[in-house]
Amino acid sequence: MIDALCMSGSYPFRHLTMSTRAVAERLASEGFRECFMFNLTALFHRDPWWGNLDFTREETEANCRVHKLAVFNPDYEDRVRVREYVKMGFVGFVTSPIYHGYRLTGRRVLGNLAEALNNGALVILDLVEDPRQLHRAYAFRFRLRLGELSDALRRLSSGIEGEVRILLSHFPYSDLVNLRNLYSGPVYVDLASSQVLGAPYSHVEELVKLYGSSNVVLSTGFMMKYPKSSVLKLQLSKIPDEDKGKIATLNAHRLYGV
Amino acid sequence: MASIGVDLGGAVDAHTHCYPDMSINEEMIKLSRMLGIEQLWVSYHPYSMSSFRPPPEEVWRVNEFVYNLSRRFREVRGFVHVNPLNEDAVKVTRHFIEERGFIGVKLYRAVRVNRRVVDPVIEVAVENDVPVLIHTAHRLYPNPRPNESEPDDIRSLALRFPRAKIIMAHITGGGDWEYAVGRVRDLPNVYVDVGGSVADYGSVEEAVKVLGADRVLFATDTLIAAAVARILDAELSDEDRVKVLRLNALRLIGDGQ
Repeated sequence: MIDALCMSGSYPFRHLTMSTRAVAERLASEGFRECFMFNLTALFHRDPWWGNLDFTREETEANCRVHKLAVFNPDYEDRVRVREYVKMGFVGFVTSPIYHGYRLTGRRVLGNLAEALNNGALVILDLVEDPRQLHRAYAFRFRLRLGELSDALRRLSSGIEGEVRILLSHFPYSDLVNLRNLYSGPVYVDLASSQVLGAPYSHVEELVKLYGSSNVVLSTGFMMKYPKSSVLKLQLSKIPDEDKGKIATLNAHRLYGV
Repeated sequence: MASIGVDLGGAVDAHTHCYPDMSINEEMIKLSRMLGIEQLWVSYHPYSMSSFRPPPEEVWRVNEFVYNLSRRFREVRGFVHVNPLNEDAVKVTRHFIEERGFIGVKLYRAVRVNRRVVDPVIEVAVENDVPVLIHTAHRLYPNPRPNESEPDDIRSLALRFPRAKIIMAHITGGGDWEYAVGRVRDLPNVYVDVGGSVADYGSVEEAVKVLGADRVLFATDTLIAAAVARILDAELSDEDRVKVLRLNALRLIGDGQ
């Protein structure tokens, strides 16, 4: 299996810290042979540069191969940074309007995101923890609106030739369903939302119907979440085995171009 | 993908719900059997009721639905859903425990359990030595809901009824589980279930560390993948895992082995 999104580093609101190698070894023990990882510490910095830099220095030798993703704040960093991140070996960019506090529709933001997208995959991260336990400070942060998201997706994908390599990660199931009414273009989604596979137990099937089996990937959200959660969602779903195989491996490779 | 290969070894799902749509219940039973869950402690899905303060006739009807489900599926054991504000709250509690073989009481969001109006219902539970499962919100932000119990309300009830066997519901159902377990740490008659949608790494370990392995119960609250992942991924000893999965629940209903 390939984990399309996991993380190492430190989570600032509770006692949770894990090295890149520890995350990779744990994923290996769960049956993952590759993973795409970002640095959680960098996500909480307005300027993620130093967190990303530290991340490049972290040892990655493990039984699960680590592909590194840079955290990117398009409201603070610029196109030059994108190119530097590419030179540093990052294969994609993780951005979170919630944490970085920007609107997806700003001209500068969209320009920088387009540059990122031209240089790798782009992961738009909704939340990595349950919104009900957010620190009080985040009550004042932006909330991603579906109209804003669909507008940004349309603009970002319009200039792309070939595969649109954008992943919406950790989005609630209900948002992914409603988004399809506003945006019917290509985009990847994952099963990391805590809502997927509750009653009526058909959420994975519905996501595959809405987005296509080639556009769903398996993200664990580990180290924030227990890694088996996403795996079990996929295993317990009633989609064909062939689709499960694509979701567990091939789709992530295509998304990241690795 | 490899087969699921999960066997929870006769686990007890200490907190789940049934729905008016029988196909959902059948699917839940099927998944539970596949995973080795031996008992499901079931109350009616509260969002499928007309309100959080359902009138008496609706309360009787939904509990009868659970009773019929328990007759159809051997895994299902009933928890009687009670609205303590109804005049017949004690009567309905007593009826389903004493006449229908239900093994516990479920309180939802009709009223916070720090209010004395719940006391007669708790007294029936104590008298029959059955657990009381209390829906609890662990979110600290942004605002509390007026009739939804929080860990401090559980604390208040547990101190009023030291003989009551109280289950504080779904610490992993959203919110601050670290705070939640800390607030009931010194109350030996309070158990917690680790049901709900949140799969935060470390949540089960924290509950076991703070409360001890004897006071933590496996539960899904219908969200099966997250629940199974939590208990399988948690770094617990095999002995503690079996306690959480099964033994604590059986002990709670006097079926200890």
